[in-house]
Amino acid sequence: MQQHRHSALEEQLAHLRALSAAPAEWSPSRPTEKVLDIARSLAESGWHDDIPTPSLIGTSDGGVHVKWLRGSRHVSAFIFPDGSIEYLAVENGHPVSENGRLSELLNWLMG
Amino acid sequence: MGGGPTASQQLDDPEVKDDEELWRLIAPDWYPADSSTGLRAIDEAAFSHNKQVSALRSSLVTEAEVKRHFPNHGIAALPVAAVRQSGCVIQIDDQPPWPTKAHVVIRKSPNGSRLKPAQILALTQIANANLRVPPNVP
Repeated sequence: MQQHRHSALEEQLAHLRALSAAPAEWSPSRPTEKVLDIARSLAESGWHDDIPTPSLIGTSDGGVHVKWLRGSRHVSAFIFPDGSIEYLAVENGHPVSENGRLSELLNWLMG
Repeated sequence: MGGGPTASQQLDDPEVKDDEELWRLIAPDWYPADSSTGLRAIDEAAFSHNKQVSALRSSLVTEAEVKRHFPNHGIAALPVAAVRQSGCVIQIDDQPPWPTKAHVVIRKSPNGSRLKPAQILALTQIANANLRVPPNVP
């Protein structure tokens, strides 16, 4: 399980590294190593608790959207190019919380 | 009594009418498949930006024009009224290669700062409900 998660994460990080570094309005741009490090750190959160492997998708300004999905719930972490992070917990398509620590949000996801 | 425009009104361009549609171009990466169901949907990454999100006024561009410049991108149609109801302002921001006044930027109301996560979610949901042309996913 852990090996599968590791492979899935590395594959997604490699895809982000292969993106064009040029700024774009309509396509994802390559994140900096700092942003990728943050994305890796967030993605590895909760690996000990059966929390699903998140998707990592690049944004047009070199940020990354990290998303954990489980049933009708999901947790999003928006990493911006300056390294700042904003979270959102969603249930049945409705925002539940924009605050809190990631560990608390992931506990809620699995609750 | 001051009758001047508020800060929000100054940022929100009245030339862009509520009954218009904006097109957000959707890169293939932003249209992933759910790992469990296989169903594809537009991801919130399409609307996450540290400043503003670009879009095109559908009344001033054609699908053929978009496809000429971005052959693999999809097109999500966003009703302007719904964009504003989600707490956003819209400003005309001319950019090549698009016709004059066709390119706009979407920002958070009222101060024009970057979109908050709930607004990113709202715009993504609007886009998923109005996906006009799916991206060409490899």
